[in-house]
Amino acid sequence: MSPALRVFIEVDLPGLLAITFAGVACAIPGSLLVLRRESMTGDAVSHAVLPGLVGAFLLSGSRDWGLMLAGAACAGVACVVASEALRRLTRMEAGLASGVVFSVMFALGVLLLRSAEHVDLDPDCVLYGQVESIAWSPARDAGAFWTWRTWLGDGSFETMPRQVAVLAGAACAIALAVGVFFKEIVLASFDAGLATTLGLRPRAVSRGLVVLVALAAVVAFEAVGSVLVIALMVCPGATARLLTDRAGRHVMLSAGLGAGMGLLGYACGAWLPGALGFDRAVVVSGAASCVGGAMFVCALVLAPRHGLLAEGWRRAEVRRLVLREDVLGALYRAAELGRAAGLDAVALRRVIGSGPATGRALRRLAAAGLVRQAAGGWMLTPAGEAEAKGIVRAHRLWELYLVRELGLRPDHVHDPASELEHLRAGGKRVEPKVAGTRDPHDRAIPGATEEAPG
Amino acid sequence: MDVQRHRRAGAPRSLDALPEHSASSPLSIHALTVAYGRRPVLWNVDYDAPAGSLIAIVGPNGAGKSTLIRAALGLLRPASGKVEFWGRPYGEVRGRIGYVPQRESVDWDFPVSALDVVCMGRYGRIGWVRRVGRAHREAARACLSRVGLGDLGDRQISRLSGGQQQRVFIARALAQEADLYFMDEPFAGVDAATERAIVDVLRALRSEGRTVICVHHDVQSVREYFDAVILLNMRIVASGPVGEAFTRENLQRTYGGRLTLLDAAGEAMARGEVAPRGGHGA
Repeated sequence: MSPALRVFIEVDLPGLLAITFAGVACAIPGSLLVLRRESMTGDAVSHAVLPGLVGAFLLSGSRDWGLMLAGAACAGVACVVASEALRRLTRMEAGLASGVVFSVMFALGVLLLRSAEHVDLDPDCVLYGQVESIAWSPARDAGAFWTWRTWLGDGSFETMPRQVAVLAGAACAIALAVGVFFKEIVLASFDAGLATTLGLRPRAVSRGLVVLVALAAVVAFEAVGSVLVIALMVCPGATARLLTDRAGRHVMLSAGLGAGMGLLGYACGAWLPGALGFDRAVVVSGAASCVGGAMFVCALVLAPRHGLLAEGWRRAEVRRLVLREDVLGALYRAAELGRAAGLDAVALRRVIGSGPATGRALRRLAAAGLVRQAAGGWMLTPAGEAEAKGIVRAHRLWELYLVRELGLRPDHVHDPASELEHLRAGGKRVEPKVAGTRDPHDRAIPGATEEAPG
Repeated sequence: MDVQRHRRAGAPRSLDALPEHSASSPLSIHALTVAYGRRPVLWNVDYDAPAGSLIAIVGPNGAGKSTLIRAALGLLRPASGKVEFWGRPYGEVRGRIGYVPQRESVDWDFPVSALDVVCMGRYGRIGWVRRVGRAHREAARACLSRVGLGDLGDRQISRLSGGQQQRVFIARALAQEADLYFMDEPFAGVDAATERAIVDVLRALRSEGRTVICVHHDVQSVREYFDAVILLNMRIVASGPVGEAFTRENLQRTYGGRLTLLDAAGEAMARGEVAPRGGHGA
C-alpha cells in the first residue's frame, strides 16, 4: 500500500465518511422541516438535546449509546412540547417561545457538563465537532479523552471507528423511517385537518419528526458540533426547495446535497488549505457549513425556475414584450393621425417614455419585418399593421369596458387600459366582452362590430 | 327556542315516524356545545341532517359555522354533546365521510402536484404506509377531470389559480367517495367557472344520494344551490328545507341588526324570487 493511500485510509476516510453520513442523516429530517416551515425546530432541537445527553450520562453513569440517545430524544420532544405549551399559555410568537426554551435547555446542558467532573466532554467539541480526529488506527488508551475512542471496540486495526458505523446506521434508519411513512408525513404536513379526519394524528407525525431530528442532531453532534448541525439540516433543504417542486424529489435531493456538503466540506477543510500552500487545515465542520451556504447561494442565483437569474430573465422578457407592443401601438396611432411619413425614434421615445430600450425594440421589430425605416421616420409594414391593430383594438375595447361596465370616467381609463391591453391567456390576447365600434374618446375601434366579441 | 324543534324535520321523512336521532340520518348532532377557553362558540346545538340533500350552514361571522363542522369531524373537542353518523360514532364510519377544509387552511406553496393532492383523498382507502397504486392514481385523475382540471394534474399547486385550487380540493373530496361531505366555504373567493363546476359536482353528488353540508357565506345563492339550510348564530336559529326555514324573519334573527344591508335580498327571497347573481361572466 502506498503511503499516501495509507494516510488517506487511516486519517481521511473515517472523517470523510462520518461527515458524509452526518450530512445525509441531518438533511433528510431537515428537508422535512423546511417543507413544514419549521426550520427553527431544527435549531431548537439540536441545542435542546444537550441536557438530555449529559443527563442520561449522569443518571446512568455509563456511556451506553442507546441511553444517551433516548435521553436526547426525550429532551428534544420536551423542548417542542414546552415551546408549544408556552406559546399557548402566553400567546407569544412561536419563534420566541422556542428560542426561550431551547436556549435555557442548552444552558442547562452546559451547566451540567461543567459541574460534573467526570463528564469529559470538551466545549470545543460541542461547538465545532471533531470529525478530523476520527482516525482509523489502533486505539490509544480506551479511557482517554474522547468518548468515541472507547467505541473503537477492541482497538483492532480492521474495525471501522464506531462513530462512522453509528452515523451510517442513523442515516439509514432515518432514510428508512421517512421512506416508509413518506405519504403520511406529507399528508400531515400539508393538510393536518384532512389527516385528522382520515384517522392519522398529525401531532404524532410531528413528534416522530422531532425524534428523527433529535437522532440526527445527536449522531452528528460529535462530528460537526451542535451549532453547525443546523447548517447540515437547513442548507440542503433550502437549496433543494429552489430546485424542485415535488416533495419526494425534494427530500431525496436534500439527502444528496447533504452528502455533497459533507464530502466537499471535508475536501475544503482538510485538503484545500494544504493544496493552496497553507500549513494548517481549517475546521471541517465550518468548511462544510460554508459549502452549504455556497450551494444555497448558487441555487438562489442559478435555479432553473425559482432562481434570481431565471426570474430576472422572465421579467425582462415581459418588459420587452410590453415595450414591443407599445412601439407598435404608437406607430399605429401615428399613422391613424395622418402622419404617413412615420415617426422618428426621438418622437417615439417621447410617446413611450422609455430610453435606449426603444431603439433596441425598433431594431428587433425591423428584423422581424414588422416596421421599416422610411424617410420621415419609422413606419409599420403591412404585417406590423395587422399586429398593431390587435393591440390598439384591445386597448380601446378595454377603455370602453372600463367606462361602460365599471363606470370609470373616460379621462381615467387610458392608463389601466394601457396595462390591460398586454394581457394574454393561452397565447391569445385577452379582450373584454363589450360591444361597440368607438372608444370613449370617440376613436374607431379597429375591426370592431356592434356585436360583442365571442 | 322551541321554534327550531318544529323546523328540524328533514325533507323525506316525518318526525313522528322516526326516533329523534335516527340511525338513518347521516348526521345527528345532540346538545353540542363548543367553547374556546371560556367563550362558548356553539351552544346546545341539535340537528338531524336529511339524507341525500345539499345543506347550507348560514350565519354571520363568528357564528360558529366552521366550528360546527370541525366539532362534528372531531377536529375540536366539544365541551359537551354527541355527534353521530348513521347512528354510529365518527371513528367507525370515517371512510364514509369526506372533508373539504377552507382553502386558506393549507400552504399552497407546498411542493406537491394537483394530482398528489387529489390522491390524498384516497389515503383512507389505500391504508397507511402502503404506496399509492396505479388504480388509485387513475381514480384521482378521473376526479380531476370531473372538475375540469384533467390536464393540470402534474402542475404544482402554487401555480394554480385560486379557483383551480378550490376545484382541486373538490376533486379530492370526490376521490374520497364518501356518503357525507363537509365543505368549509367551497364558494369563497372563486371565479364564475369554478362556482359552476362546484355546483355541478354538488348536484351530481346529491343525485347519487349523498349528503353535502356546506358552510356558505353568500345568502343570495342559498335558495338556488341548496335544499336545506341551518341558520346558525351560536345556536341554531332555524333549520329545515330552504322553503320553510330560509325566511326573511329567520335571516333577520340570525344576523341580528346586521342584516339591514341584506334586507332587499331577504325580501326577494321571502317572495320566492331568486335574487339576481351579481357580477359578469368575464
